[in-house]
Amino acid sequence: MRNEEVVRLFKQFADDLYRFAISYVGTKHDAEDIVQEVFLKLLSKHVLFEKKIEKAYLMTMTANQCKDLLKSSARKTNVDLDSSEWQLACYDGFSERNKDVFDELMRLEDTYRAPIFLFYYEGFSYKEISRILKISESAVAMRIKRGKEQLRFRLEEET
Amino acid sequence: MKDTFDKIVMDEEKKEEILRELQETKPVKHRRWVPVVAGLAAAALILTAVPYTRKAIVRAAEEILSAFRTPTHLEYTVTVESDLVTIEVVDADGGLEEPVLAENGRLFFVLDGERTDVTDKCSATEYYRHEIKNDDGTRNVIFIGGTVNDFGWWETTFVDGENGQEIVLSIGKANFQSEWIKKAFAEEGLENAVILLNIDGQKASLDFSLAIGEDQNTETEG
Repeated sequence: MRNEEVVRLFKQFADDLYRFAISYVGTKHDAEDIVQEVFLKLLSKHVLFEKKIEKAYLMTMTANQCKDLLKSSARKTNVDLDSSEWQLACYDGFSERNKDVFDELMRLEDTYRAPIFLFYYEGFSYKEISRILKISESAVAMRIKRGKEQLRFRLEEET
Repeated sequence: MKDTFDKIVMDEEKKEEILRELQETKPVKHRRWVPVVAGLAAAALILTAVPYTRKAIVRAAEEILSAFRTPTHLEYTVTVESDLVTIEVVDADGGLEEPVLAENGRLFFVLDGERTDVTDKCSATEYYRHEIKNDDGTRNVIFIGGTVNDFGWWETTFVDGENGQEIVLSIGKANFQSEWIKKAFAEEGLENAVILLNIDGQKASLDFSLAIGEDQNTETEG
């Protein structure tokens, strides 16, 4: 893909991919690295696709990168919410409520976080999420349901 | 959640750093993972059960075959723009993991670091078959065949199309004159499939407007 095209996609979607990567892998530096890797990979791809599927395609690439990272043996899947890197990275501009929502979401298993993020924040359908995460629609539905239940329970406990 | 995540953005400094890198980096091709050796078929084929439809291929491309990874760590991307289908195959991170290994006079099927001795199941006319059913409804079938001194492998990804059709992506290193692979294709129901694309590198394109003739069963998108 030409540099100009990749730059256009970066300017349009970098923050979207970053948010998704944060929700998936949990740390700022990893999320930044993943976004960088996705767009660098695009430079070596010769794909053409219609604009309507650009974002979903990039989300799929991001999900692949996130899965690779989580598979690596040196990587923990649980987010360390007490780490200074985490707090400095993600709490800028947050209200207390934002912080609560974010912390509790990050406490969920990554298998729940990603579908919940894609559904409630990005507004993707179950079908679209199943394509992005390469899981069945029924798995998407189950993970969203369970994750939402856990999230609701924890947030209600906080208040 | 919207209010919370709206506030999460990348550092501007990091964005500028990445932008500079994207603007300055020359596009680099992945290495050609399959060496084309005289006498060996090292090709990616797209086969579909006859009859095929443009609609089925577009659906498969858009819904499933987007940065699709196989067990051997290849990554397919099939895209459709107007009447042009493009298929790209690259190594996923970590590179291709060939599913076969010959060692100490034995033949092994290798997947995710695990080895299975399949020597006694393979010969010039026999093959070993391994199937993986994926969470997204696709399935991968890997064949290993031949002898310790002359073996090959083939990986096929099946994607459900509509009306009982299947879209198939198939790639590997094998001599198509071998009896084992002819048998494997026949037993898998692929021997009568229509080959839409035959590539010996990383990329191929198919122009629907040329490929769809009057004798093909076609649907037009309405």
